[in-house]
Amino acid sequence: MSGSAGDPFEDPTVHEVVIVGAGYVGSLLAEQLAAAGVPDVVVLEAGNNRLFDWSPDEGPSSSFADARQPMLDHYFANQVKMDNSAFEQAVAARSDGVRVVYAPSPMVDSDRDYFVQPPSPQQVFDSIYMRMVGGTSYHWLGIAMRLLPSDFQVRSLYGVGVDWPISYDELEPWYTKAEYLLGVSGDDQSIGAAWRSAPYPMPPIPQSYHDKVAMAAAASDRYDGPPIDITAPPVARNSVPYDGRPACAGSNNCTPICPIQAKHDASVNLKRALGAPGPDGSRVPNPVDLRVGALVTDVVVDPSSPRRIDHLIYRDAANGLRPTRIRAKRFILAIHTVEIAKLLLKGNIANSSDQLGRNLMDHPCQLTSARTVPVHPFRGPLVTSTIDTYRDGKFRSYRAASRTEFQNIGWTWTMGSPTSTVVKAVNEMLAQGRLGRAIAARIADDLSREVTFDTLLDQLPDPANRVTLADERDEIGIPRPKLTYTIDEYTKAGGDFAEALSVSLMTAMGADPSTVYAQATYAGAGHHLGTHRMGDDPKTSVTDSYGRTHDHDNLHLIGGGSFPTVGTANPTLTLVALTLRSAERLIDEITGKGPM
Amino acid sequence: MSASSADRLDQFELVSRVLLEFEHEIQPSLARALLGMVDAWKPTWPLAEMAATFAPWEALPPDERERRVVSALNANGWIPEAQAVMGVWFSGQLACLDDDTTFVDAPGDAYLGALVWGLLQTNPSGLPGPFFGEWAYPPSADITWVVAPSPRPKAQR
Repeated sequence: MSGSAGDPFEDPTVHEVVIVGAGYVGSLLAEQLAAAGVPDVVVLEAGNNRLFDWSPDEGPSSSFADARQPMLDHYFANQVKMDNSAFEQAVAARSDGVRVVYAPSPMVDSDRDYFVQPPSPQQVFDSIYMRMVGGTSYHWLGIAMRLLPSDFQVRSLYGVGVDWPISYDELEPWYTKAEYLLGVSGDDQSIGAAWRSAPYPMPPIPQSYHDKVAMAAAASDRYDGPPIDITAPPVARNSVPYDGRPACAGSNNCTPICPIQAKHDASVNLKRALGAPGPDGSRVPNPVDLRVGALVTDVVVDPSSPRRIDHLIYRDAANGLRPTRIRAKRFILAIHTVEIAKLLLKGNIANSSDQLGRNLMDHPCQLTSARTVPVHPFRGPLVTSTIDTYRDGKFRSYRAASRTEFQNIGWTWTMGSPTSTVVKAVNEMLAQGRLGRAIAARIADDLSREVTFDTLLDQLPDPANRVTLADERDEIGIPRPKLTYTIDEYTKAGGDFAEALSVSLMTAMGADPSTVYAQATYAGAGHHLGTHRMGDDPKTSVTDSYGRTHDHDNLHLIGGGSFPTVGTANPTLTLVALTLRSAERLIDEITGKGPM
Repeated sequence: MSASSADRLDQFELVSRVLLEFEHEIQPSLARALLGMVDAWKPTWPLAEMAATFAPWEALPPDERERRVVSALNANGWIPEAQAVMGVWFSGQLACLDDDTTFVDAPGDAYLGALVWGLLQTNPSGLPGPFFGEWAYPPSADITWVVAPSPRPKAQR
């Protein structure tokens, strides 16, 4: 290991549970275990950023005051206004004093600096994540949508993909718990095929003026037969004060960071896991031991008992990236789809099925933009409407299901608006001999008419789409992830359908045909899925439905990587539901109430 | 020609008033930040010459002033500089002309103070607010206040 020498520093304790990762899954799991009274839970997080005032010395007496303003300031000053713009890479000094990016994150403007992928303009895996306290939960969009019952059975119903080892009915109670834990605003009248056992915790977020224009146009646009159903999606953004957090104020910045925490993020749960009081003043009985700047580099099997993991090695950023050995009865990896695969492939752990790292999926996004009648974007949450009409149907035997969202940020995603629109207007108006006010009026009019639809497409599991270890290494000598990724004809057929639907609806919204732009390659949705899929058969899956690996009794992998298929719902609500379900099983095991 | 930083700021404010047709007071701290961006893009840009040329025309009727200024921009090859000055005011960003994906570094004030937010009639994305539900209705049709002296019609942060 570069930058270090000698034997690992020893943590002498055999802990009850070690959770790796303090993102959504890790923070929720930590909170659940701590609330259940499970003692001696350690959370190792590679990032060393600070989301709130807390220190190990002060523990539950910390103020837990929110510290998002520095992230907002970083965003305001960052010339690249994209998903990761508010956040900084994890940097620490090695033992020789040299400062290095020890846990690099893939970034929007340099996704090939960390991932090893083919050069542009080839289609690549186009999604990113953050390795920081809170994980990627700060810049998730907040769409908290359930998968459909049929999404769990696409092999049985449509002859494609694979079935999940659990059904919608089995997961439904956990979906409900997840919605109340995150705080979801939704419309009880538009639940589609996904039956519910309880109403949404909050009423829906109002749809934008842009959406109303689209809805009026859709009333006369009978594309492909059925009425185009435009509804407010369920979102983990407060429509009324909830759980000690305020209602959405329309800051138009769900991604990369909500400035008032109206959108749920993992810090809510991480604080409580650390002993912060909840809205009712109660605290968990056994706060967890959070260790930040702890980059896990190795998972080591017990040589005398191959079905058990003996210990992990992590690099301690606060101590010159010194290797440290930590032992526990149970290990839970919650470090995101790509990182879990990378870490386990490095030690050839939990891979008797040869499925580890395979079936990497996303929701490839078809993007279409046009200039329509004025819709006044850049006001309100980033997405307030969705077309659910094509999430399911017999067509799924030959074409990907799709779900279209209306982007409330003009042409930002496709063309870099508003800056690109400003530059174009300034240049063209100057050429026409015009200055100041005339240009301002032109910019205002141009921006008011910018419409972009993004359609999330179903993507089937393909074992050839995978994470492997690259020959290239990061700054501390760990192999970088190599991504092999293609988009098949099934998904492309869904993309063609989505483009035609978008153009049809935009035309009904008064689009100027000369302004219609459909992006040639598919964008990433930021939904890293697959790589350690769950299943009943150890020959074709990596874990069971609770996340326990088939190969190692005390190693659990929880997160989006567990998904056998992806449907068209943003994955966070499902992975939270799965986490809560796994947490209950773990708690039962640890407290002696359930199976081991 | 050398000039003190105060002189250069005065010159930048004058050039900005003429190109943007501002009628309200310019916030000096914002102007200083934006001048820094243009300087970073082109350290030797002809600010003093532009200011000296435009100064006599400030009091002219808008149409006549616009005609003379645009003519001067074309005659002197100052179109890129005019694009840069207007670009930083409107968007708070300035792309390098030889690589429009690389932006000149800018302080957060440049983003927060960009005129484009007024033209969109909303807060800069990321500032809290304006308030729950305002997005469900179209904004006021009046955007003249962005460059004219009337007060902003909506409460900002």
